[in-house]
Amino acid sequence: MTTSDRAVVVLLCVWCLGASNSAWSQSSSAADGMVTAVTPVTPVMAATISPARLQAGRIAFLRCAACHSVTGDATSASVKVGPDLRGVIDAEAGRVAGFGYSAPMKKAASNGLRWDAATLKRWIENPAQIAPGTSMVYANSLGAEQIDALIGYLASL
Amino acid sequence: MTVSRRNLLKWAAASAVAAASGVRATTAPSPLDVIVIGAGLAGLNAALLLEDFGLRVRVLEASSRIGGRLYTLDDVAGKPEAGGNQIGTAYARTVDTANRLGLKLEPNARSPLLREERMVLYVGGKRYTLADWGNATDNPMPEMFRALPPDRVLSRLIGASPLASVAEWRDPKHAALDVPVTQLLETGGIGRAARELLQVTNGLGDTLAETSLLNLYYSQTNITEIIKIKGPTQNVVGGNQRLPEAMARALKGDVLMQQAVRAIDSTKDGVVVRCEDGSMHRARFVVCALPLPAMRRVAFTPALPVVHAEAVKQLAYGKVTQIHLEVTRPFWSDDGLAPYMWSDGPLERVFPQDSKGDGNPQSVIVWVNGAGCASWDALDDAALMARASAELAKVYPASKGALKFAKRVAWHRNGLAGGSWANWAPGQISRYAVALSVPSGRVHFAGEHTGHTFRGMEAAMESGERAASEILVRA
Repeated sequence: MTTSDRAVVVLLCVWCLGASNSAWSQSSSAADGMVTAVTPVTPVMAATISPARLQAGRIAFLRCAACHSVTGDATSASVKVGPDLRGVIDAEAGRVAGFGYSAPMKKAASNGLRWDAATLKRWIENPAQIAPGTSMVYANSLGAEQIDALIGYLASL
Repeated sequence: MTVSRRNLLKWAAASAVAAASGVRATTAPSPLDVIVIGAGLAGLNAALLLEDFGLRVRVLEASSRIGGRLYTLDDVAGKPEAGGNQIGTAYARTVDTANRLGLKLEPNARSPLLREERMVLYVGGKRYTLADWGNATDNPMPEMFRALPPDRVLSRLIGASPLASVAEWRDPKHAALDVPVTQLLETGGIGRAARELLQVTNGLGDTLAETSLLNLYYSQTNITEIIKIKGPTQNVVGGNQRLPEAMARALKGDVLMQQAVRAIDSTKDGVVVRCEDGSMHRARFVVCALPLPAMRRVAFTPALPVVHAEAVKQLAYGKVTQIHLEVTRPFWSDDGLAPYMWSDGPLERVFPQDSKGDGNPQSVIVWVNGAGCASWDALDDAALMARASAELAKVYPASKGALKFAKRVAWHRNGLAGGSWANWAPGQISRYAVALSVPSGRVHFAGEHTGHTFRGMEAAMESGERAASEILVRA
């Protein structure tokens, strides 16, 4: 059990779970970043997105913003739980240098996972169907139109 | 969004004065977009995010304290946390909001007194080290779990969670697991003596019969997922309550204190919120971020959908009594017995409040869960302290005269909280977990019990984010 795992255990004991378990500390293997350089992608949707749709996308991005920056600044990987998303549309998975991707995401990336709009939509609907065991803790509550707007917003950046 | 761009909070007594003295006169008297009920993390996060999108928001809080179930005991030596205690690295929203508001987080101190080898077990009136307990003839646990502290055995007995991801906990396909954990234990041949120890400090039900197997698996999966994000658990420098306080200060709109909401009337055009003091507040939407026991005192017109209303009445909440005792003499130095205990007796657990991690806690906490709270609830403070002292002296003879009563916090007796957190008794996840976060007319719901992937603080933050997102789509 690592120090952080112990700390989590204490946390849950203290907030009354009272049932902690070293089996729970089985964690994914340490991940130190990878994978390939970022390939800039021309945001094809940027030119066509309407202001209303862009706003809908910004609102949908509320569900993402705590974990993901969109600054394109590599150092942002160190301050948020998830990787930066600027330029993610049509880029290959696992592209943010220095971000600690989970083993399942590294594997999916090495198998050629690419964030085209259709794939990203499936990911948002249920990350586990693309990379079971991913460290992205998310339960989707966005409708199909909102996801489309979100992808439009990300493409516009 | 930065703190500097935001107006200072007008709260407590100052709120009425500020409003009357024209502080708000510079603000156009446009109607409110959203009334947020409850100034805990859920409500405040919703309010902040709605303001980020330009909506006009007012927060109503029934108590005279910001923070809800984040509660730093500033009046107890060492400032222990009575509520939300440790901020996991995976608590992205909590951490991000603290960062945005300029608050400093620090890794939780690791007290040398909290090492497992120093743990004191007091079972059946006898004191053991963990190593001794593993070999004790009185230890009723199954052979492979005998060496564990009794409160870690239950999650091992139930085996690995069948949930593929934490998002699945509300999925109807797992309803067959939403049964009392006792069903599994009985078929697994776990004896009565072991079952009695298993339920002493189980925090997910007053008794094992009231504990849902699905809720245990949900907790297990939740932990499995959050520890994938590496890093220490943290606390806010100066106390975790500083976070909701900073969130409230960062709001442009009012945070009105001692405004206990008693009625929410929705029409197709807007919502009227009525408070106990007769005040009325109108807005286009409401975020109700009250814990369900507090929501039981709010009349909804039109009535909530049947299942939602039933959930408000029925959902189980955790019972927790904490007795905070200030240390006047470090009694553990006398005999080496650390104030870190698990017991099947009335004290249940003792933790040192060693915020510096130097082995010199300024206070210790007696922590009682579930059904065990009842015997303490009946006592006034003097009788409670007399009993606690006498019980502690049985385990720690050197503790006589070394502890001073500081504070009792009994979350289940606090009418504005009603308990530690939603406990999801058997059948309640299947019946209520989806319904509780579905908007009803112009009223949206937040609070830790409406979190979808987390528990505790991060669930509150997640729910506020979801409620804000729902309203922004409509606004």
